[in-house]
Amino acid sequence: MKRQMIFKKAIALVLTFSMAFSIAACGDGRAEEVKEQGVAQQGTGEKEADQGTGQETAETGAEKTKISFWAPFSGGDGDIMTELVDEFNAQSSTTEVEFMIIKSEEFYTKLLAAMTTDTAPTVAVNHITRIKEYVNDDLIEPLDDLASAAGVDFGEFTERLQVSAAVDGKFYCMPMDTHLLLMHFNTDEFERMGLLEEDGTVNVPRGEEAFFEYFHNVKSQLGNGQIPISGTSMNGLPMYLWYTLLTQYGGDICDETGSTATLNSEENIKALNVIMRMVDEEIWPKNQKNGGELFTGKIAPATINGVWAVPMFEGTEGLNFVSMPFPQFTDKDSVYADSHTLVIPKNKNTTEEEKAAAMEFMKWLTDNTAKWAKAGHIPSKQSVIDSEEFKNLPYRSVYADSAQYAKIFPQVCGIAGLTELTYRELAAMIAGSQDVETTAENMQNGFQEILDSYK
Amino acid sequence: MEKIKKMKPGRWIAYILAYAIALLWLFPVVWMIISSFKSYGTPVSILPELFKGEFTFDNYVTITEKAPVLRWIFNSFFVAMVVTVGTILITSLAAYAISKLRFLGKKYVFAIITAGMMVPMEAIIIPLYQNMAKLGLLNSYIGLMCPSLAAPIGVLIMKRFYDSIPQDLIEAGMLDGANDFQRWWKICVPISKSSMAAVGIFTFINSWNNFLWPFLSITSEKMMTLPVGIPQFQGANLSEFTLPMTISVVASVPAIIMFLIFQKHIIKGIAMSGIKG
Amino acid sequence: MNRVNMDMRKKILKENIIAWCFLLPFLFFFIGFLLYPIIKGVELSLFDAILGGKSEFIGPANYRDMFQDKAFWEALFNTLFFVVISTPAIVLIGFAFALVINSTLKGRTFIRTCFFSPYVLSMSVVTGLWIFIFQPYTGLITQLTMKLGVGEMYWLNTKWLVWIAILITTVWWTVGFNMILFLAGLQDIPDEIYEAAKIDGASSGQSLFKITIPMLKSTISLVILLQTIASFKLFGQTYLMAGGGPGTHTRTIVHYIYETGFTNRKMGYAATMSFAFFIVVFIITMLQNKLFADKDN
Repeated sequence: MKRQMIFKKAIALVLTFSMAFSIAACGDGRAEEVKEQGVAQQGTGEKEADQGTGQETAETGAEKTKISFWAPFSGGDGDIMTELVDEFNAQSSTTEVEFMIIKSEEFYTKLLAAMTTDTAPTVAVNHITRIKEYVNDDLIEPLDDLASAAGVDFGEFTERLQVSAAVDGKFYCMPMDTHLLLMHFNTDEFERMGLLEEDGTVNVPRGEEAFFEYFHNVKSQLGNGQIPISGTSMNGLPMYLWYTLLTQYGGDICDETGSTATLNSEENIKALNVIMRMVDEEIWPKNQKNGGELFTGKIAPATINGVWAVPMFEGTEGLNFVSMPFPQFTDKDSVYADSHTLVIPKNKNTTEEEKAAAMEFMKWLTDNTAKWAKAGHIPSKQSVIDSEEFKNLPYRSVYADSAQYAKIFPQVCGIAGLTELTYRELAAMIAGSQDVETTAENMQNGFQEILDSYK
Repeated sequence: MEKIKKMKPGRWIAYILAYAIALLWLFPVVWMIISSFKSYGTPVSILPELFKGEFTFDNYVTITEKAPVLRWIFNSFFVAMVVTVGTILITSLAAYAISKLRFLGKKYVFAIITAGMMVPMEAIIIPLYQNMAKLGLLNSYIGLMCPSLAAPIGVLIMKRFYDSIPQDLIEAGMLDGANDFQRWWKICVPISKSSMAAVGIFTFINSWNNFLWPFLSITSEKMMTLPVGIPQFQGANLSEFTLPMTISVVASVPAIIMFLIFQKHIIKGIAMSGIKG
Repeated sequence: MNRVNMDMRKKILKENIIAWCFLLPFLFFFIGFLLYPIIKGVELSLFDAILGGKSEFIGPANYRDMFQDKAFWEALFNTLFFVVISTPAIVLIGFAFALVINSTLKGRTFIRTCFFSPYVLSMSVVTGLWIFIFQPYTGLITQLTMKLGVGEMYWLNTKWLVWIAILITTVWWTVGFNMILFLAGLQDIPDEIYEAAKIDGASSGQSLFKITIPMLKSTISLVILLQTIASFKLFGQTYLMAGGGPGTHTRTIVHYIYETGFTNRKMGYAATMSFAFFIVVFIITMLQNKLFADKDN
């Protein structure tokens, strides 16, 4: 009986405690709500006041316009973007950005859910390959008017990015970077093998046969348990490699109209065969789970990975490396690329003033992409690529030129679906559970179905 | 408590086996903890690399500098605490009604509650999100808590326990004229301690690790819970694992502590034998 | 007569009211935040709805498509396969662990904490750790099989072998849940019964089958029910450890629903499959219930 009493008292205690807590929570929540409403009201008040006098008062106004910004950057990318946002907030007298990092795998799920309920952020990062799909469904704002009011010239962006950033002649996003596939080499290992050039770089000769000859030479000099090239055999990496090869051999995912898939082509068979040759001859052995770690752990002297891996390799103690443009298998230079861009999602709660503030932020960010390049990415504007600040960064200028021939997926809807499809098909092929012809056929049929669903 | 007996060989084997499996079970957790003390960039899956070199607290310093981790711990803890206490109370009430009271449509109510578990969260998350957006409960503590409070599993566990209490026992312990609320509060609650503790553990851990809903509903860094914030330390396509391991250790400790607190009640539960005395 | 009838009615009405009052707090949250979204989802299954895009009523067309969708049937098969292999394994191991902990071993708290500790970890941590164990080239098991001369097994990339890896991971992670439920059940069995049996000369094996298991019947059926439902919902482990691969070999139904709804944005079709999934789980758990009810007689 005594024990029962104690227990009952304990329950009562917990109950009171939790109630007090939840009341406090309600109070807290309400207080915050009120505060936010207050801010919103002040915002609108200010807007009314500003309407007459225009921009000058906005700049001298004490209250900054608050905007929100979502990005799928984690790890090193996130740290650099956080620094950039802080710097912007410190220097802007008119705009305050609240930055939120969101898990990259589920970023678009969250963004889409928010866009359907008018709760989307003022500015969001978006991959350039998704722009068409979002324009198609009327989910993002056209930027031309806002841009011209803020003095933005889309002509400053590199040509390839301009092509992908505009839909039917209208711009919907502001690119921050080009990110593409590279090959990274452990310079200690390559020096040991006598393959390091005098300027400290590594030069894989052009052409398919030359490539294999070169890496068979590397393979013959490896220690026990080592592999020539590392690179994760699932998810993104096989797709980056595949699209690089496909376009080097002159193929693409669809015809010029964007309505017919062309993945049953000879070029695709060729590209897939080259991947399998790399796998079968154990130049790039199959079923790797974490290519980056095999490289930093010195199991592999070379690795296939994107520009985004550079900061991680730089941060690894005792690793000396060089990052080079991805080797070319044919005479046609090409490499898989994508671009992080900034968009304004449609949201009926976003005011014109907030949109203008968003544009101010987007302009500042794209003007300052030399800092963003610390994350490994290649800046989106030619003037920034040519700037001293960018050129002084190590490794970057060695591979920056590959942005000249970077190949971004053609502008069609359904790239997200294609990505999922190729992840799956390529991983199955590399694991040896299906042959090249079946893979090509599955890709063709799957992608055609995706394209048809957007008609 | 235990009498000192001569150990039979069978008992020796049982001991060795139990401890061997227990240590095997613990191994990945120990690995996680060791990794968190290695310097940034150490390849953690290569065991010899892991035990070489220095151990450092740097990662723990880094995570608190990089993000408001303490605030996230508070958010997670606060939400999990309220959800746990709330779930124990409301599921125990509902289970009592289903187990001990007669009412119209009982069978259907119980079937619907059970069926509620059979739909994956992924399937209802978008309607839930739209509903919450309409109610204006996104990015709030209340919005984080409400979906977790609808936990059929708690009703099932509590009902199983109440089913095992004979009606006589409840009547015997009560004076005439006691109402059902008193029966529940004075008789059933004290003896269902072990089941309540089980529900409490599961609810707390589920809430603590809940990802999808908090991920969608939170729109500011200061409202984030741990599972939503943790991925900031993991780079996609990358292979740095010491920071993710560190934050995982930080995230696991409070849940382990909660387990240690609750488990006592499960084991030493007065349970059925207690009522007889 | 009449008066007694009236009293009876009054009493029944009172009982009904009291019962619903007890249910009310739970039902408030259940209906608002679970049932309502489910019903909304069923409604959505009749629409050609794109997440963030158009939404057109198309009647049962999604259901027609589903029956012809090979990928759906394959995902359903994969899921059922996992339910069949994992449910007995996790329930039995959970039961064995609970027996060990409920016995008089010294250091029970330590063992208990060891067995339970994986359950507190989150999905991403668990899969991350087990990828390190199963991955080729540097994984722990690879290092072991290389030493033993078996060579590289490619656990996560080989058909059927990948299921073993996922099963081991899932057992390790979730067995603590079943263990605790069994433990709570074991604690409810009065010691007097065992003592009486001992006096009667019953061996420990006999008391296990004659006392423990019969007394635990309701717990056992509860654990099986919960485990079956949990196994049906498998997603994170296969998705994060094997990407649903090789190919679509480990793509489960929830994975396919997620992919359809969020990657390909076809919310309507995803809702259709969710509803079908629910029906399958419902039927199977009902059959299980029947099976156990029959054994009672």
